[in-house]
Amino acid sequence: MATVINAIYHIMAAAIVLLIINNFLKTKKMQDAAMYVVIMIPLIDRILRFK
Amino acid sequence: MKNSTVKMILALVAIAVIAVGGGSLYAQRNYKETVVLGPGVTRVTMLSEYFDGIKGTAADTKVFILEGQEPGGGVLMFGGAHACEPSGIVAAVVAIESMEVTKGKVVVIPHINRSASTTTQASGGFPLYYNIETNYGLRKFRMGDRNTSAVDQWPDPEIQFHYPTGQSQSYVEARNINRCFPGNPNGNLTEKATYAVMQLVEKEELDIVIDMHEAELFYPVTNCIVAPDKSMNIASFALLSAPFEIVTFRSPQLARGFSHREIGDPATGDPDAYPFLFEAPEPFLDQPTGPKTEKLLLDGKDEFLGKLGDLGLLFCPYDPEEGKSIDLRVGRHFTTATLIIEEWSYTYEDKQILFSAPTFEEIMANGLKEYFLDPAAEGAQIEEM
Repeated sequence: MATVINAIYHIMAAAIVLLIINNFLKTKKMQDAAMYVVIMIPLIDRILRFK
Repeated sequence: MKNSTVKMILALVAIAVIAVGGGSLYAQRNYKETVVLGPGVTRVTMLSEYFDGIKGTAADTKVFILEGQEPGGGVLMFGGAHACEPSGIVAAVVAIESMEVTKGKVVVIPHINRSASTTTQASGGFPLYYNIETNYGLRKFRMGDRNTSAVDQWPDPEIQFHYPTGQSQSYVEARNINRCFPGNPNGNLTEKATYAVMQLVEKEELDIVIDMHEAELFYPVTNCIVAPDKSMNIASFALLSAPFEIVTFRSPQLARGFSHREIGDPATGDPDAYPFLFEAPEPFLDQPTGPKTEKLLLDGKDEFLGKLGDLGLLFCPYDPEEGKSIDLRVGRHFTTATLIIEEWSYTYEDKQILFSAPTFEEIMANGLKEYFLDPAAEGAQIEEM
């Protein structure tokens, strides 16, 4: 069960990163763009299994 | 500045943060420590030889066997149950590189929870590595965490239920190998690792199990041996010969999952095994200290802890000028282990374990550096772990 939850978590994290990248590319507010970058970093670290 | 330029800069900053921050964690997770096989090592294997349920996982770990010419008793010495407590790990490596067994068998596992040694404590500000000075340069070790890495075992349960008693524990104990004995072949990764250790103890017919830890000076269970009633006579007599101050604690009957509680229990562990857990005092682990640097980890000198000592708040003697060096902590573990084995051999002549090893006085006089072998020497047999 834990393995399945772990896999789902990683898929969800990847999907959220893709949505954030989409928002990052579309936004015209630079403050929002900076926020998207900050949000993305820990999610990417987790997808890459760094920590 | 154009928006596209700002976005490009932001993206580059993110990539740099991930590469520098994440890259160093990735490197630590994959760093391999070097061990030189001493003249006493007769076989090296993996823990999965005793339970293939951990084969190929982060829980599988190197097992070093030192067997004498004559049959006798057997002892397992392991470090790294809590991988943020380095002296047990280093003492195990010193045993591999310097011990020679003439009768019986000594089994050594430096990283009983290898996964825990590949990550550091979240928000702890711990160094990723520590280096021990040897006669042949620095020997580099990974600084680990108390628990199995969440990269290898996640998510945590709301409540951890100890197997097989069902006693409820804090959720975080699901990844604490020293709350998971005697293990479960169908449990989580940590429980599988402890199950493999129990299989090793049984299949190798080992009599003594020594689990080497470190503890805060601010914590009552420090500077001691923790043992169940069956092991207490051996522990008490062994300590009569100890050239340093050390006390014994009785293993609590009602708290489950500890190595000292379960390994020798006829109901859950191996009735023929006598477990002992050592706690060396480690200032680095105390909360009220200065920065958690490699220096503090190695010399154990901290002025804030000295103030607490002056106020009588510590549970063992502490002089901040002297500290609690890694040489002292490893020397204590190593010597306490040899005293236990000697007392065992005196008590049970039919299951003697005879060996040669450096004494506490020699380790303190010469320094730990004398007891590491040269990995670059001709014919040196190297293992990575």
